Amino acid sequence: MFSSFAVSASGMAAQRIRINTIASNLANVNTTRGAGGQPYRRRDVVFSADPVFSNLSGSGISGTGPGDGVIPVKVIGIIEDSRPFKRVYEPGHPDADSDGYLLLPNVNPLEEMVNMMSAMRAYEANVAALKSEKEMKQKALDIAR
Amino acid sequence: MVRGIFGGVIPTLERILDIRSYRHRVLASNIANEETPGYKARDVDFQKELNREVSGMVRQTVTNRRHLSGTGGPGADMEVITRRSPDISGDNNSVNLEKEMVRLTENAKKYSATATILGKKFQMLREAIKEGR
Repeated sequence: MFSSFAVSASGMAAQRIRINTIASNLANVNTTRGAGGQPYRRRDVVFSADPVFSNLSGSGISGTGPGDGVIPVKVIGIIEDSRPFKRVYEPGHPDADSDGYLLLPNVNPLEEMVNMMSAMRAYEANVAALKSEKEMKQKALDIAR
Repeated sequence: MVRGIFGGVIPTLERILDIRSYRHRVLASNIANEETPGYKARDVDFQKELNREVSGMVRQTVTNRRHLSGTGGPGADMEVITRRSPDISGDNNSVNLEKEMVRLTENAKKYSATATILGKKFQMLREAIKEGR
């Protein structure tokens, strides 16, 4: 049986990866030379409720059996956003096409900031859960005093 | 059933701590999966689990295999319910972070209260053994 610490830690780790991804998006908001000569594509994380875990805990039966309520989160991948690039007229730029148009990454800084705040709050929620678990453990130890 | 000096309310308090501890883990899972698409919030029905245990105690503790098995740890014999709450997020996730935090805090405080009461019970036993000296 995994502890609540492990579950909260999985949530914190997942949100940290998300924040790193957002930071990468913001850092590359104007990067015109990314992979394959294309501008940088916005990246996003994919969260998944870790199914392996639920099979390990309790009865070993996945689904609605007993003991499968404790499920950490896992980042199963980082995907690229398929939204079109922004197109601006900038004939002097070395990466502009023959018509003078330049493709810019499909990153919207406003959207990234909102996602970052959401990730931070989610991270803090996991920290709060971790702290109360710590207090509970301490209380349990105090019984023996 | 011989209860001895650790009978009475102590096993019930132990059970309450087990249920609260497991519920805390389930609620922590909800918070960890707050943004997982398709995840459904889960919970443990505290009253139901406690009633199940108490009625088991009244019958006779040893007739229920679960009580002596000792495998799987706390929570292995508890029923996890999937909470039915309206899906408002659009990604099929039914976790409401604010409500989960309230439940988590309430559960943790009640755990602490129960642990304190259990500690006091042992303290009283100790006082009795020492004859109040």
